Amino acid sequence: MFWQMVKGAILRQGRQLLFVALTVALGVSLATAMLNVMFDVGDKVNQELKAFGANITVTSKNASILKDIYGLEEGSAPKEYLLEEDVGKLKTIFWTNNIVAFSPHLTGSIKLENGGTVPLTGTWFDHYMKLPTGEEFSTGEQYMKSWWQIDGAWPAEKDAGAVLVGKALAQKLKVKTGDELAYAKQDGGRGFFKIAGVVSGGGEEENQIVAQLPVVQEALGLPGKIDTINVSAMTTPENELARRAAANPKSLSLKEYEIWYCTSYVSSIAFQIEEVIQNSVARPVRQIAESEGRILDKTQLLMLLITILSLLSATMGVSNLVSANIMERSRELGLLKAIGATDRSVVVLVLTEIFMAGLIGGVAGYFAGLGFAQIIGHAVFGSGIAVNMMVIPLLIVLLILMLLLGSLPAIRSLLGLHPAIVLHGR
Amino acid sequence: MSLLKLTDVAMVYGGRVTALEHVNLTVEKGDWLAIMGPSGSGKTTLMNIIGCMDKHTAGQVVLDGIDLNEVTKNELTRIRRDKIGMVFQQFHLIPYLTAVENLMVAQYYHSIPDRNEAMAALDRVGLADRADHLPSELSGGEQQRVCIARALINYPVLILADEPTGNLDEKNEKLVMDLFRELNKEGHTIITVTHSDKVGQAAKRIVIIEHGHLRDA
Repeated sequence: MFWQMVKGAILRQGRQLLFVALTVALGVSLATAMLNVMFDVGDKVNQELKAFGANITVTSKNASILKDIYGLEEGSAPKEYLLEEDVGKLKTIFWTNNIVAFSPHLTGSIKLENGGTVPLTGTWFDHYMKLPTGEEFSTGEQYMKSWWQIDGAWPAEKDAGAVLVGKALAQKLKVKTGDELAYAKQDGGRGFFKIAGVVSGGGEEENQIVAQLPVVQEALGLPGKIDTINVSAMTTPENELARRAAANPKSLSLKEYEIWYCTSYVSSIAFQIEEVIQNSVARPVRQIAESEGRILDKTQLLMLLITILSLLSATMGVSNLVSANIMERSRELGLLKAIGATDRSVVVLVLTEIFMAGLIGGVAGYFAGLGFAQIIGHAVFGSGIAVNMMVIPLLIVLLILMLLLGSLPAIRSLLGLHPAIVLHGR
Repeated sequence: MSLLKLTDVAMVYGGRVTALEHVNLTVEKGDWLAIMGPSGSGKTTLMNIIGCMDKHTAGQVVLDGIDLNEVTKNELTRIRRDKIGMVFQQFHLIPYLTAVENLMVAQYYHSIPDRNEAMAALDRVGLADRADHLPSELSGGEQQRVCIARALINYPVLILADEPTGNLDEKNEKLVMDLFRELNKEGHTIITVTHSDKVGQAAKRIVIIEHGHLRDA
């Protein structure tokens, strides 16, 4: 009989309950979209932030120690180098798929025939490599420095003498794209740089010549050597465990160590880089790593606020609709009380109707929300949003809370509903 | 022992408006009492108190041996469910349930719905063939007879009818009153609240209520 009454009420009040279902669907769809985006935004934001360059710098161990202990900067102590042949090993670590791009660097200075000595950096611009695993990979500054503005073109790898000249240096030397610069090689010979472009990026490159790595190695007499590797990796925001591990991985228990090692914290990726590149120290670029964490936290907070607001709005909508529905049905509900229904049984009946409508709206809203999430993903990040199953139990709890809170005013008036008044006045 | 005994009952709303004052009334089992009076005289208030839908503010009401002064709100609901059968002027049937289902709802809140028993009650009022019709598909007289069947379904000790023919034409009024006569003959105790002389005259006893005071006709 109970279900006959529920069925009858739903069929008869189809329109009102349809509005309840629609309101719930709207709230749940927004919550579904926001929660799915929120859970997936970490990877997306990480990918976006990779546009801001490296978040790990790899140097030789000895150079790092000298800098840390004695504060010795470049040029003030004998330089220690890494080997260019080791660079490919970066793609052999546990988190290899999180290594988005990297570029080796060799810095020094070179004597130009027409302008004294200027800083010189050798690097890869767009370097194709075959990895030890057999995979193919292209990387270099072009993949790392998306914000560099080039007046001209990026040097092609096959054009060995092509270089970028920093904008400030180009002004100082009064050179432009297409000009040639003659320089003195370490062995006393004469070499030429062809300016492929003038670069401006707001960093030290403004006053440098950025050339192909082999040319610089030859010019500086350091074949096969590099002094730093800049690595851009997708990372998980740091937490207490990651901070402890970064300070001293040996302080972790075995279980903690496994969790840390198998999570893409910037510190665990750096640790794994040190494992594969001999005699190296990998340091997170704290500013970027922390910015990533902060931006991520704020983005997630924003999503959470939108979720809460959408559910609150839906709750208020449900509240109005249910209250209006109860007022409209006051005679019928008063009659049930008059013929012996207790307050509790009438409340259970009404809540069942609301929850049935809410369930239908919730399911519809969930699938609509998955669609919204994909639209947001493609519009904002240019890729789809992964469907997170964890959202479902969360939504069920939120839906129940929304329906209960939305029904509260109606339940209150239902409890105060006096059969004597609604049936024939006092 | 009387089925219903009201002793010096009063009802004051909000501490200011007196609807009933010094009401004394005794109803025996098998009696048929008509409470008559003009609009605003306190008829409905008295019916709400007798029907356990409202609680009096002074005096004593004893129904089937239960002192209503001593019961809680939930107990009052239970007493109403077990002992009172109600017939309303405006029928008050649940619009989305059929005639038989309207009876089964009353069974559901009382004990267990039994379709056969509900069908027998409909047959009793001559509506077995209209069992699966919605209230909107029934005439006023038929709706009132469904209402009477619903009032009888849980074997109440008292049938309370508020203006039972107020919304009916003459033909249906006669049908309903004949039904009440039969029920009373069978031993049912009935109280009708009405301002219709015709309905009042059908009762065994009439009391008049005026300005909240009760007197014999």
